[in-house]
Amino acid sequence: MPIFPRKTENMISSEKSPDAILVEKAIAGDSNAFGELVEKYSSFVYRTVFFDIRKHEDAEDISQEVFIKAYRALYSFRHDCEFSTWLYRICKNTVYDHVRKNARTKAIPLSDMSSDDYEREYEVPDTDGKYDPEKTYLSKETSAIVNDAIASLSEQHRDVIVMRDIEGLSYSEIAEILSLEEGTVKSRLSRARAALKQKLSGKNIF
Amino acid sequence: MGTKYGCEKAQKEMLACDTQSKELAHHLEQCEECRKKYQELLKMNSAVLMAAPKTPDLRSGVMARIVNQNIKIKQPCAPRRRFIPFGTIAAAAAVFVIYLSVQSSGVSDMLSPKNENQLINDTDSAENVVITDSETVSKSGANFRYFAFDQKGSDSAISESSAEPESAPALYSADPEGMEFSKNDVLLAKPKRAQDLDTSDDKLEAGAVKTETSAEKLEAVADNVNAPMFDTAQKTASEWFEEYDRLYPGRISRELFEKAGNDAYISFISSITDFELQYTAISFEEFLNK
Repeated sequence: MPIFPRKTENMISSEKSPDAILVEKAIAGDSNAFGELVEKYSSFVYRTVFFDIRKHEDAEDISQEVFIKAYRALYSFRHDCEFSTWLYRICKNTVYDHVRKNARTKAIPLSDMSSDDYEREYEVPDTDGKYDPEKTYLSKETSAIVNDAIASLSEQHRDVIVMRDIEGLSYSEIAEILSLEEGTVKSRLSRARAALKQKLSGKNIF
Repeated sequence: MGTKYGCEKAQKEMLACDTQSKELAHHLEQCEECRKKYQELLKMNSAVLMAAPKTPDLRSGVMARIVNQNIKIKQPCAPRRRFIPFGTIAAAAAVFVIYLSVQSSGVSDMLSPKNENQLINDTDSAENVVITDSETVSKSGANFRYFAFDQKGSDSAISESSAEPESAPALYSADPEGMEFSKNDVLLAKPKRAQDLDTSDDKLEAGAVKTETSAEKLEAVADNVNAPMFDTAQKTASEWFEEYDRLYPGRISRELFEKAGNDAYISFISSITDFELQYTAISFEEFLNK
């Protein structure tokens, strides 16, 4: 099931999308409505920011800032695009602002981070419900390499990998967010995966 | 093993799409190399998903910040006013100040086509008028020149002074009795006092030199009933006599006019500032006796 609801023909013609309804409620003073939006898009925003910034603490702060900016500017959301598209733009602008402010501070590659930085980050698949220390360790190693490889991709490739392979958005949703044609999304995703595979080849990942 | 074309197409498809088409599934059954690459791709996708960082609880953090920092949704604001750069305003103000200073300092006199020398020299040219308003000068405090004419009205007798004369001896504010003008002199507006002028052109400050066309002269005179038009270039002395005799019938007889002569009559009516009072036989005779 896709994370973001697809825009159906009915929604386009007459009905408002669930996000638009939540936005209207938030503007009307319903703080829970905005809380729902934050919860819905937390993962998308945080991971997008994380692979741009490569630092978890900064990514969390910036992600919060993205939602605060969105909250302040809710009136300017014109409903002529999806909320996710609008939020993505805010997200990227906030990241660019952060990068400009910290231009002198060099980004730290994930591989240079201490083990404590990784400790809470990995989602270890627990298929059989049993804790396997060896499996967990290997997963940490693998995760560090994979995340480093994703972070080293170009921004265009990075974003489609995050949206499709991590967030599980549909091609149409990605096309909507990036303002691209679906065919362009597919070709970009194809090149992104090829580039990622190239970076991970020989690292005993697969 | 599939064909080379089939492998290329299959690898493109497996990279771009997540679902297998019938052709791809059929190709993978036959091609071991593509099957291996497909397995690698699945493993990579799985590794990417597993490696994804865990998302912290942003909702509670964001909502706490909104409450604690009292963050509000910005209300839509009215369209901004068009911004005028400060430099533009300053430049406009400077130009205005310069304009005022030029106007008040009499520099405009210097820049005008007829300066004071031209005024003096052109008294015979029948094209210039000097309007001197002593009250205006004293109120503004500006440094104007005053031109005093002696009773002969000759060029050499015109003196210039920067001090305001007590009797405001301007051309039209002075008592014209006894003043003499040459045949070609022109008098346009002849109020008793300069402040009596009420047209916009009459508000020219003291010392200003104004060049007017004949049409403007006629209009200026038409505004003042008590200052008939007098222009020797238009009519002869005899014609002027007929004109004034029609306006003031019987005041000066034809005999007196013929006895005095054309030049004397022209000089007399040139000296008159109030025809209603001064265009009389007595005044004419007194003028002749002088």
